[in-house]
Amino acid sequence: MNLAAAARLQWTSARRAVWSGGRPRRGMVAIVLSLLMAGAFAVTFVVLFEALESAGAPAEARVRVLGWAFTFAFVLLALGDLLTVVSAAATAPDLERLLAAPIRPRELLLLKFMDTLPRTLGPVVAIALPAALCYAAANAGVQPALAAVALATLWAVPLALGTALAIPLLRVAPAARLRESIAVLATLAFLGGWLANTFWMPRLLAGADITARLRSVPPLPAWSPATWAAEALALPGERGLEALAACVAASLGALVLAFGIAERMLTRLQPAAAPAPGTIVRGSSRRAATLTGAFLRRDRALFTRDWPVLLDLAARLLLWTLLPLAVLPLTPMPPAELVRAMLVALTLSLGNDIGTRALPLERHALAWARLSPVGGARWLARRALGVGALAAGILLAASLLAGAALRLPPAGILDAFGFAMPAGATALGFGLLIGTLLADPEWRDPRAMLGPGGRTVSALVMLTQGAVWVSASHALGPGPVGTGWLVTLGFCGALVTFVLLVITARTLERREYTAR
Amino acid sequence: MTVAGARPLSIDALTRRFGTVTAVSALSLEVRAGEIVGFLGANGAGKTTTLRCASGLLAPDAGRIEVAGADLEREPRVAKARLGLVPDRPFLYDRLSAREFLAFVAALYDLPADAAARRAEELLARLGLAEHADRTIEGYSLGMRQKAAIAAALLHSPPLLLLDEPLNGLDPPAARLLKDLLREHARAGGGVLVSTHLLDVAERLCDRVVILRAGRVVAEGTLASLRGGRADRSLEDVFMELDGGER
Repeated sequence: MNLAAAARLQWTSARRAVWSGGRPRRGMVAIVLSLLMAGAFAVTFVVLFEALESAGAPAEARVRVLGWAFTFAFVLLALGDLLTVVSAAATAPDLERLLAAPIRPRELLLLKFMDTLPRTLGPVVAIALPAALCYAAANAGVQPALAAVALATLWAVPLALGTALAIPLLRVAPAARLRESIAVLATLAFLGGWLANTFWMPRLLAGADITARLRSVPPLPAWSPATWAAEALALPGERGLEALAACVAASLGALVLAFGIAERMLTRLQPAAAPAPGTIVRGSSRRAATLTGAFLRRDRALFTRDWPVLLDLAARLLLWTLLPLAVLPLTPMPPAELVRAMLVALTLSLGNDIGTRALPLERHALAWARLSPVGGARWLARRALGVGALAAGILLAASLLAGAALRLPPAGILDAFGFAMPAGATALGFGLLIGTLLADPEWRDPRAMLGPGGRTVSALVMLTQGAVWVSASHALGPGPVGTGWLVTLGFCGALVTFVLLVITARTLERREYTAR
Repeated sequence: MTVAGARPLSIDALTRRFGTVTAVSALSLEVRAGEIVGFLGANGAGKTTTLRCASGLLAPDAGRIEVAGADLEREPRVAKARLGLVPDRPFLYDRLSAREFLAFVAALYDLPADAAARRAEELLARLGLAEHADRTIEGYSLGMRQKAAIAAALLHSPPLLLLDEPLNGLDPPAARLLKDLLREHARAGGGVLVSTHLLDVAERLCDRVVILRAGRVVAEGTLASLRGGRADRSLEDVFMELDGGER
């Protein structure tokens, strides 16, 4: 194989994904998002390491914090890389061609490593690099070469181990199922990391006695490449060198293992073509009595049978609802306002995660909205009814739970629910419109039913909306909102939602379905 | 199935552009009741675009389309209720079973519940899908997916059937069965417009063929008329001549 030519081709292809024809392409959005994420993590790490330095925390404690940051990145990288390798095998259109080509399996793996480099490098740039740079800025004496080795370890080991694990797994399980299971694991890992970051970090940094609280930070696992990377970067002298040697050995060992497994098993892999086996379900060929009933029956089946989507949804709803609790140490809030803030945060998730996905979930079958005599407007009305009922149920349950936990009286719970309803309706309205305009019907990851641009637009719209509703809640004071304001807000919310639904219906009516 | 006095499909001066490219230009064609019309052309000739315009999935830039007497632009719901489409890649819900999918389609076309259920079971049995009908579609092979799409298109017994490369993925018995179903549909008074690359299929199945080149109709007629009285000429010979000669 002509490695230089292959690398040149990959480079050209990657470059064109970012910039071609004199204008930015879809890949640019991923770069901007990675940089934004890196910026957000950098802010966290700057605050964290400066707090540790000003508190005079011992070097060991700082290394421990850096090690945990690297561990979080490592776990996400390991799951992400496993997912990338499985996806590259399951969905890459070129795998069958490459398997048939006269190249050695290890060369094929090298090509795939080059092909997936932008995806596998992303989390290193977004999480581990800011952690290392911020640590170096706050602590003198960090050598750039050591930082480079540490970061290379965090890239190479998860990728090589992910590959070594994915290839045998793909021989025994259908790629589609495997991909779903790993996506769920990645969601849970992100959930764990987010909860730790949201609840543990602010409490760790709050108050004066930070050194005492650092003692509660669990020690780093001794046999972890993330630990070795942190120690190689931060510890001076012999211990640092030992950690550096461990990093190099781990990287080389993992790569040798991955290429060895590829050499033995890669050619026997069943690529993309193998479909998921399908599930036996008990359905009836008798139609529902009404069109609305048929839509509700179908929606229930689509949602409940797509368990990666369902689990991802549940995790996101929980995370958003709990978000206001994270700022409590910084901005104390009275219970009624806190419940309203939690419900507003939940409505953002309802819009961003349910509203935007409602139509993309149908993939290319959405063409029935134009092909059948139902028409786009009636189609949307039924879809909106389904997601609206689901969202209202979730909002009601969340109001009852949050209200009861914060000891609001029944009237207070009802007041908070009444406040959240128009916020939820407008969020769903925006979500349905964004989902109709910016969906990617070929989505493979349930977290990415919109393209990168769509996700960015959705996040910005939802955050703007959240800011408006939280400001309104704050302006209305610490107690209940009251009937007058609830009616006013309800009317405004209904009006905005109606306008959004009309625009969405027109978009759906005019949407064209070209050949794929 | 038939609507008295109305032709299943009548297209008049259809034009459709994509940016600067004209995919279909002033195309006119008709499908009469009881007729199977083959729609032939090289890749990019405009067959799929025409079928998608005729089924309402694409809006024409100019021209008029009537489905069984209903104008597609002015009475879209009536027109769409009178046609069934088997697209080149079927529009299916992977997480529904074929049985559930047909029940949903029956609701979209507002079919009577009992009759639709009977028709669905009949189609599932005829297409050999009955034993897989409770399995979610994600587990179907290409041919089984195609059969599910054919069942959905036939479920409401429309006066007009539009099929875009319907034999894709079908094994020989299933292909034979589909041809039988199309003939039955035509015998019952329906019209069929079928796009295909398989000239031998068109030769044996179709009553009339329309040959398209660069978005325009370059020949139309029965096989005998296209052969120009020369029995030794195959449809392939005719097609190659019209499409620019030997390549």
